[in-house]
Amino acid sequence: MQPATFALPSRRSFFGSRAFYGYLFTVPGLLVAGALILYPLLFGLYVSLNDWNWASGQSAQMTFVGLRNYIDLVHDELFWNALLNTFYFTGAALVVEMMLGTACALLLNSVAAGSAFFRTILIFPLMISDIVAAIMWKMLLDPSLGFVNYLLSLVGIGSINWLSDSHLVIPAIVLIDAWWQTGVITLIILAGLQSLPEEPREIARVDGANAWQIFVHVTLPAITPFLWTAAIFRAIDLLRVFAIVWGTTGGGPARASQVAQHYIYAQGIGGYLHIGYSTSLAVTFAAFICITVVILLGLSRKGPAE
Amino acid sequence: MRASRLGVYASLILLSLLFAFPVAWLIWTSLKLPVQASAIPPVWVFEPQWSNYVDAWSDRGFSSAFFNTVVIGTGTVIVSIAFGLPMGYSLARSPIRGKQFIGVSVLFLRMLPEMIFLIPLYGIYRSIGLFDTWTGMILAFQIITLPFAVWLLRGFVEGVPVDIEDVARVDGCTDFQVLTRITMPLILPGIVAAAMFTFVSVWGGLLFPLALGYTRAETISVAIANFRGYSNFQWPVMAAGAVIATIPQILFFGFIQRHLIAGLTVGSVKG
Amino acid sequence: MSLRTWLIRAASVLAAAISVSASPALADDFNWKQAQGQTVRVLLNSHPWQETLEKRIPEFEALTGIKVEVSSLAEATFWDRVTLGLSSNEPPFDVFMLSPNQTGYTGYQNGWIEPLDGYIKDASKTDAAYDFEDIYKYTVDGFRLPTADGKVYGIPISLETYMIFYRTDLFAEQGIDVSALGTVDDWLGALEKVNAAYKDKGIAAVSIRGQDPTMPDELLAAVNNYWGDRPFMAQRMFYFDENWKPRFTDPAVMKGFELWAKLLNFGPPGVENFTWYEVSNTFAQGRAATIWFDASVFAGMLNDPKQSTVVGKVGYAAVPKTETGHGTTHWGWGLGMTAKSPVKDAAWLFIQWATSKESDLDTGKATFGPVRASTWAALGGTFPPEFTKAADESFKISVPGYMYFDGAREVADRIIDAVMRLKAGEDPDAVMGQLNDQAAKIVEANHLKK
Repeated sequence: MQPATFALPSRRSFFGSRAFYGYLFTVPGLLVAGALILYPLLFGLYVSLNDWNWASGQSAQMTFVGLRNYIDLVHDELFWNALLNTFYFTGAALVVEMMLGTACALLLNSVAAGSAFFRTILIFPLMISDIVAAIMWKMLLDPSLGFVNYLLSLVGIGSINWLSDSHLVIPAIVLIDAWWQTGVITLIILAGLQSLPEEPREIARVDGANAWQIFVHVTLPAITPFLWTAAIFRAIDLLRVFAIVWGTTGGGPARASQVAQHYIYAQGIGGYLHIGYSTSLAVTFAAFICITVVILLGLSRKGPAE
Repeated sequence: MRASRLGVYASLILLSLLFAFPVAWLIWTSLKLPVQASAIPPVWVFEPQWSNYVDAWSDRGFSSAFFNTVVIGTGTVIVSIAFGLPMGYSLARSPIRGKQFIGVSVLFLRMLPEMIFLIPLYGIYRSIGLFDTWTGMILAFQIITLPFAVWLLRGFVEGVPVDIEDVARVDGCTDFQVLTRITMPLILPGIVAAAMFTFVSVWGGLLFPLALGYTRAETISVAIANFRGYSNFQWPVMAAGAVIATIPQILFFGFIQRHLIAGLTVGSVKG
Repeated sequence: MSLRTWLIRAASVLAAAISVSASPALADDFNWKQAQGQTVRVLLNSHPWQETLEKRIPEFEALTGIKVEVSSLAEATFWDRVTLGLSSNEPPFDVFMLSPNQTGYTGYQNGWIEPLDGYIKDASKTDAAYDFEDIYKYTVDGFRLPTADGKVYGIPISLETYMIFYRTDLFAEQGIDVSALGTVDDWLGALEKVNAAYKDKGIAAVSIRGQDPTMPDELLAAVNNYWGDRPFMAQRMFYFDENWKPRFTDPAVMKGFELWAKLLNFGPPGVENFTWYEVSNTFAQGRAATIWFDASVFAGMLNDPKQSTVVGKVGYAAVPKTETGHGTTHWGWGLGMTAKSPVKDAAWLFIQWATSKESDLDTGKATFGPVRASTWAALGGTFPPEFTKAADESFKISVPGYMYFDGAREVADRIIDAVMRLKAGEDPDAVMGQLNDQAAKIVEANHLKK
């Protein structure tokens, strides 16, 4: 018996073949991406090889300096500080958000009555724009005038210096981001859970497995692809964090919360106007993100066999 | 069974409180006077300043920024799904050359820090007249929303068993018909998630509108950031603006929820 | 320099008082409609000046037939848009609010902004009643680039000097007579008293800027207070000598920095992150007993019942003297024109109108910092008397506080780091010595030694 997909006459023309549709579907998107992204990217790469310092009157022309910017950044301890902060923040936030988001998705999936109501509330923070979330939490976490410390003082906990203590500042930002973006994970995992067929779980239940065993042996493997998708995308966005830092601490105290994009911004149009150097920092940081994603992708492929 | 049900609801209520209280605080603050808003201990009883909402709406540019962002957000979603769905489908199914490479490059583009794009895009946009236009913003946002839509939808397409599609192909359906009539309904939750995420990215995006917008295509994020004045930091009015700004999100989500539920029903009956 | 300034100011006040009574508001033969039909695009920072001016723009449009498109932004977004806009071949604005030491200097270096002397002197372009000399010369000089002998690149619109605000009720309760506090040490003693009495009640003794990128501007006032009459170069301020050798280990500089660190330690929790907003708001909410080295323009907000709980309890004082000197600094915003604007004459008409006598009189009431002698003469009586006295005294002893040169931003960031380290209790000699080294490296990296 012939497999269904290969029952195509060999004389069939290209038009109407699967490959044709494949290209038809892909090429327009690629054109858009290419036009919008390729030129700025190439221009950016070229700029990174130049010294283009608007602060000293060079805005009209750049000076080609080859790889000097890249050599300089190796010795730039502020850049490495920013990278360290970024990875610390990303790791912590990813763990918190994945656990919280998956828990929320599981809870939402297990109730029928009221699930739409709860889902709306749990996703709600996503609808707040990042600048509002940042300014809001800055007010909430103010050591003396903030509502959070007021609530804590009611149960006897003294004033916590959330955003001005260099040890607490990144956990505080993790808290803000977790409140704000966990909904992304929840949505993806929930959609994944709800697209799963019922039978495997039914079969397991009939076989006498309890809820925990069903979760670990049936549900978890089935949603693993969704977990990885969510994790990788969240990681990419976490690494690129900017607005929350810009709106709350501005990188302080003493650069304890200065993340990579913020440092790139401060070296570039946000401060020193060393546009060439700032772009080389951005390119290098992009490379770090790529490496991280490649590692994560590799780990996701090595998951349990089918 | 009873106890665990109770536990589930208790957890949901606790989580809801945690997620909701900052928003409740925001609404509460939006009705105060500036001097009451930063008072500690908090002012519990006060006369609600509904005028804050009027002030926020009529503040220079807020209402037009609101309208702009609705248009830009909807446009971005349409473009991202229109281009992203077919691309995600073909990356999952079609026998085309370079599939792997395209998939990886799409992901790669998502990874780039926006800072890289700001100055070149600014220069290009100013010279070809896309600066401060709706079209310009919709296209610029594709840089972050299109790759995500493609990647997410590809994942969902891969989750649909191939046999279902093959049955249709044997019946003579083209890939286009397979996509629209069979796959799309099955992955509706995924499409909804992608649309949701795209809309949220536009609504909350700061860097691109900051650099590529000015007055005609100003978005809500920048408009809200502008409430920070010098002598009168209008925090309650800004809070009111923030509350107003979330209304379209709620409406959008509410509208999509219907399709989300429909998609879920289809999914669970499958197989 | 301070005495000369005071004499010039006194003379111009006298002259203005005479001229205000003698001349009409607008000369009848100046053609305000010479650029009729054009459009001028204006970019402003959110500021009491901007809020007051925007209300009167329809008057300008009626007077000149020019259409005005205004975009006013909060500070953070403003800086980004101004920089991006100025750097483009077609800036999306023609007139903008100019900060001499930031956008001004960079703008001048890159040829982004237009010198205005030609317009001021041209009788066909400038109304005779404009009276440019009425604007305080020392503020105008701040907008001359690259040095005080250069061309004028901006017209001043508001002026602020750095002084002290204090809670009259708390000081009275502690029996402190402010008029008896003559030196910094006297004030520090008073702060100790206030701190002991109110710290546990949630009122900190001091509210002062922390890691705000603009904090080094106010810090210049603290350093000037110790510097005395010694000379210094205008844009390098006290920190570099003629050969670009850093002077951060100079005793006056160190004392200024140490004072700032000491004041920070009198501050409330979170003071490390204080920007101008937190400084004024904390005091306005009654949670601080004093504000140090901050802008006279706060006076407007602190006396507004919609924003301040301490209306009627606000006292004002000039910075107290030290054993080695007595001084503070002033700073101001201005209006500039883009070099590539296609409507320069129309833009000049706008700038002229927005900085005229009528305009300054109107905005001066809101900013508490008018730039014209005629306005001070007219408004002096409407401000709280203690404020006028403190502001007068401050202006007498102040110098322009503008630090700009290639790499100034990096130096400013290092200064902030150093102050924070001093606050944390690190050894001053070590901290300032390292700051010297860092500054020397920045000088070298920017090729400042010619």
